[in-house]
Amino acid sequence: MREKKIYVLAILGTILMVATMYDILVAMPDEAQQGPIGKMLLVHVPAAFAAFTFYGVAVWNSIKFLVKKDFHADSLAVSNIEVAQVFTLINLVTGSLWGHIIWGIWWTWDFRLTSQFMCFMLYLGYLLMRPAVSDATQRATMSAILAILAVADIPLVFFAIRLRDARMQHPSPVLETGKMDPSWWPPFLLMWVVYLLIGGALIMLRLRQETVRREMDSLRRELHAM
Amino acid sequence: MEANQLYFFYGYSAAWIIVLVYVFMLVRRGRRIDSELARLKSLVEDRER
Repeated sequence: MREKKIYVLAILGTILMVATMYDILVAMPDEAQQGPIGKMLLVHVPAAFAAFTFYGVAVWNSIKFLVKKDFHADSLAVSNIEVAQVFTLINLVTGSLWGHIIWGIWWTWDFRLTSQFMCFMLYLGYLLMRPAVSDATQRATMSAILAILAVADIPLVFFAIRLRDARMQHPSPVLETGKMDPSWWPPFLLMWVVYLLIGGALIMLRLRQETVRREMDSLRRELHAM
Repeated sequence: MEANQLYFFYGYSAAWIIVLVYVFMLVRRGRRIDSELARLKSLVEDRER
């Protein structure tokens, strides 16, 4: 049943991705001031939105673990964080490529870029910490606390643009100025849906691995007790 | 091809290459976990006999 869901999500995501990519790459005109690179916004920003959605689900499940001690919630949290990292990386890489053309530099330590990089590093720490803790309850508890603490960075990423230093360089055409052409909204939102569908399939695939790992842990305990 | 167009192409390619690399890593890790699970199960069965 779970495998069927994975296939459905992946196939739907791929079909929608091909249609949206055709729209962005072929049908849509280039951005008036920036040229083709301006359309990077349609892959860059939805990737961040998808990542934040998955981080949000992970934090919800981390809280659920701390309250109910439900290990399935811990598995869901780690699966969501790992996939969110993939989309954060897409956001960082595409942003850097855009910056190379528009700013003439690959990277700058302004508030928004730094806070997004911090978000990536904090959750990378989460993923690296897990294998270092052998006791399952301790691992899940420490992971949940770290996931909840690290999420404090996300509002910083979101609101960094309001700060003077970030506003000087980073554009904010989507949510704040309202200057994005109305014809850009459908591909923008569709890309977010594409990421959510493909991310959903990846999370379910990752969740299966986490379930198998828990089974392996109990087998190891059984072997140890024999 | 001018740099603007080229980097636009790089960006879109990078996004899907990152996803594909992750899928490849997941599949590899899945295979490793499945074989480890099979090994543990056979060890438990052997000890039970």
